[in-house]
Amino acid sequence: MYTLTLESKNPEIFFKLELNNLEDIYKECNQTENIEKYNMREILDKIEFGINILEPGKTDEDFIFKYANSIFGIILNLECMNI
Amino acid sequence: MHEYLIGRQFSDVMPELNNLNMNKVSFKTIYLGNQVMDSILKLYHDEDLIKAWSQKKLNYQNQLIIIFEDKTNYHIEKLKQKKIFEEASFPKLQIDNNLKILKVNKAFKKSIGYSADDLNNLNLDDLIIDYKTKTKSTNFKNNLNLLFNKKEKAVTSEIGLCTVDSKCHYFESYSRLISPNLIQIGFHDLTELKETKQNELNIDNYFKNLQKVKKTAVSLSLTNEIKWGSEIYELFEIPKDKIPDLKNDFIYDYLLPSEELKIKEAMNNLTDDNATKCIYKARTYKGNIKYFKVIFQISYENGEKGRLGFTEDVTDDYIFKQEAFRLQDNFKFIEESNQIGIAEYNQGKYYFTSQIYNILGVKKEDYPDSIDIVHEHIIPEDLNKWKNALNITPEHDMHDVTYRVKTENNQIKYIYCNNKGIFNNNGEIVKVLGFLMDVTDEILIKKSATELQNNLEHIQKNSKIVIATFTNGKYKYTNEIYNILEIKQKDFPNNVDLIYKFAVPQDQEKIVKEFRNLTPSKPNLHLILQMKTSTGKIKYIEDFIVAEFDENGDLIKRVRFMHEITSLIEKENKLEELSEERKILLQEIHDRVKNNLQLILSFINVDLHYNSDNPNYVINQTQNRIKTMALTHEEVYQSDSVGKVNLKNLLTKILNHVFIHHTSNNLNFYLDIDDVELDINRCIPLGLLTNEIVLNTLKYGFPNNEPGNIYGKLKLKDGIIDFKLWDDGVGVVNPVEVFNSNTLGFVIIKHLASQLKAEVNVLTNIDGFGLEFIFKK
Repeated sequence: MYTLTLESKNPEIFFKLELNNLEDIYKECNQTENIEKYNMREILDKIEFGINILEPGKTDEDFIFKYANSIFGIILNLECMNI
Repeated sequence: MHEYLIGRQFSDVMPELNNLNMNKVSFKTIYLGNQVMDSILKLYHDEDLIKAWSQKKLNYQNQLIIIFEDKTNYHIEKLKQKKIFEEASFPKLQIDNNLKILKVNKAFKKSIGYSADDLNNLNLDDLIIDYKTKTKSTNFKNNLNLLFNKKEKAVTSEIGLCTVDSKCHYFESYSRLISPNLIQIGFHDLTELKETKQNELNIDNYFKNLQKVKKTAVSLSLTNEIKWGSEIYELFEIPKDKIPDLKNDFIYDYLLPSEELKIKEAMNNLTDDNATKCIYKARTYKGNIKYFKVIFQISYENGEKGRLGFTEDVTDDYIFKQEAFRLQDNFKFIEESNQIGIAEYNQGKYYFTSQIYNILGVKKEDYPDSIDIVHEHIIPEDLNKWKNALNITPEHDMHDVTYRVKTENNQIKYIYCNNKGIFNNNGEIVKVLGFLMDVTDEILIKKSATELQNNLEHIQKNSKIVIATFTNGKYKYTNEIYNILEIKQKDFPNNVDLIYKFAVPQDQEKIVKEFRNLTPSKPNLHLILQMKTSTGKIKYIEDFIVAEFDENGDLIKRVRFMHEITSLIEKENKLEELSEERKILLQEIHDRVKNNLQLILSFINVDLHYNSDNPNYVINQTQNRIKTMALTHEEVYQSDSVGKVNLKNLLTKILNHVFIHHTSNNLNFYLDIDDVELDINRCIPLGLLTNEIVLNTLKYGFPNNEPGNIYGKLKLKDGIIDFKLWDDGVGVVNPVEVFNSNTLGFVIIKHLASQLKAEVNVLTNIDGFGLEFIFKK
């Protein structure tokens, strides 16, 4: 059993998600959209920190991933976790 | 480029968006103002934290930027600290400045039975009592206030604490301020220990008293006599049958020299009010040296003043005390002068000498004695090593280990630790002593020395410098010597001097002679040696020798640094040869200049003889000849090979010169010259010869500047040069006769041909006049 939590100084911002498999974090969305290559991609790829850049989607509930570098990949990549 | 639109699924793992009513308010509205939000995202597998990231979210130009940083190590470390409190083997609690207990650890709940809530519902004053008097104690709260008011950093006190089943336990508490409003208290249960100690003390006193009674001899000195208790004979090991023979003051006979004074001084200082005592040394009847303590005091027996003496055998105590002092002194000395720290674990408590606190960079007052500070600082990778070294049994009561600790300022240090267990008669461990030494420098030096050694080996392996050592009759060489001498190491035992063996005979003698001259005052030598390799090649080596001698002037070591200088020597030899060649050439040039000048002089003489009335002609001819000579020399200088001239270039230049200066463009010349190089000494006559013939041809073959052709052909075959020059001018009736006449031109031509040792033929079957010269190259 895996547990993903989100903690913050603001006690109201707390989240706990229980998962049987790590893959469950990442569910492929039915809706996809073609986007342009992010213009700062080459610079951001070299940054040690993980960076995700999102934009509001067509509805307020959705986001489009404009850019995601490797760290966000690590969250989703089971092999990198040595488990 | 495709990216997934995650939408709701993503907002599930970013719940603060939901808290901010993300689903209802437009994205733009929420994130206006570059709001930054920090949070920690943690992933657990069962209860173990496996990953943690810090998240910063900010709005920038209508984009949500989320920055992740991997903080797994930091959060795992933090959890560990939390676990230290929770999983500690001794009871702990945390209390705030309102004296509200925030949490207690598992050990607290187990041994005392109360939870944090239970304690807060009860009055602390009712729980904490003075152990001895069993009354309420206020010291505990006072101590906490001292900490909150920052008057103390840590406080240790002994308290009684009632457990949930109303039993009173005796604890040593260690309280320290871990944050401005929070104190952590550790409890060490001493109940059992105190009770055991009390019993031990009672038994000890009993035996001591028993011994005292047994070993103390009483004496009473009156005016005329001394009465002795029977124990004195036992103390002095006097057999019973000897007792009747003893004098009153017999003990003086057994005293060691100068000890009598001590007793007399004690007796003299005796007053009615004060007892005196002294310790003296005596040799017993059996010859054993013993220490006796005597206490004197005044006593009145039936009105008569007497002196009571209580004599006690204190040998064991005295020796033990002396040894203890000596040990203490030694221990202090070791502690002060050494880098060895000592750790002791005894009955649940740890004791560390100052060196260990210094090594770890911590303060003694920051840790209770119930915590092993070394364990707290060991890096996780070395924990097993540390644990194994504590696996002490009566059979293996000593272990040593080297592990790494991380000090307070995050420095990694290497600690060598020797653990020694001390066991009682039942084989139970009583205490563990650890002798610790900071060996960081040694380890690092060792590491860098190994690295250096590796580098040196690498250099030696790849270097072209040979290092040879001779010591104790044995020779040792680096690999390059085998390459130089073209031999294999295995073919030669280490008692063979390879340099001597492969040196050419004359250099073998040189080595022997020069080595004899090595002395302590002149230990260095520099030799250039010629070697003959196993394949017969001659090689040269430069050899620097350094000899070491002992104090008697005997050779103990010889070190040689050698490198091959064959190519250098070869270059030097070549340079020397070149220099020699240059000298010869210079001499030749002088000779040539002299010869040329003599030749010019001869030509002028001959010209004057024939044309004494026409000096302009003589000058003109001389100019032509000098120019021909100059062209020949010019060709020499421009030639790649010194002293050799390319005939094709030379003859073309000479003919060009003659035609430019002496014809009016109505003559053509055709040359067919082989690519032949000839010595300069022979080129000068050949050049002049060509010059003379062409000038004669112009003068007599084409007297009125008629148009025509001049031909030249030079062929080399089997080392013989065949040189022909002819024209298609007016010619002569009988060419052979004309050639043999004594006209100036032909005289000169014949003279120059003889210098070339050439056979001269007059060409027939041609339109004009022509000559052929055949000579050896």
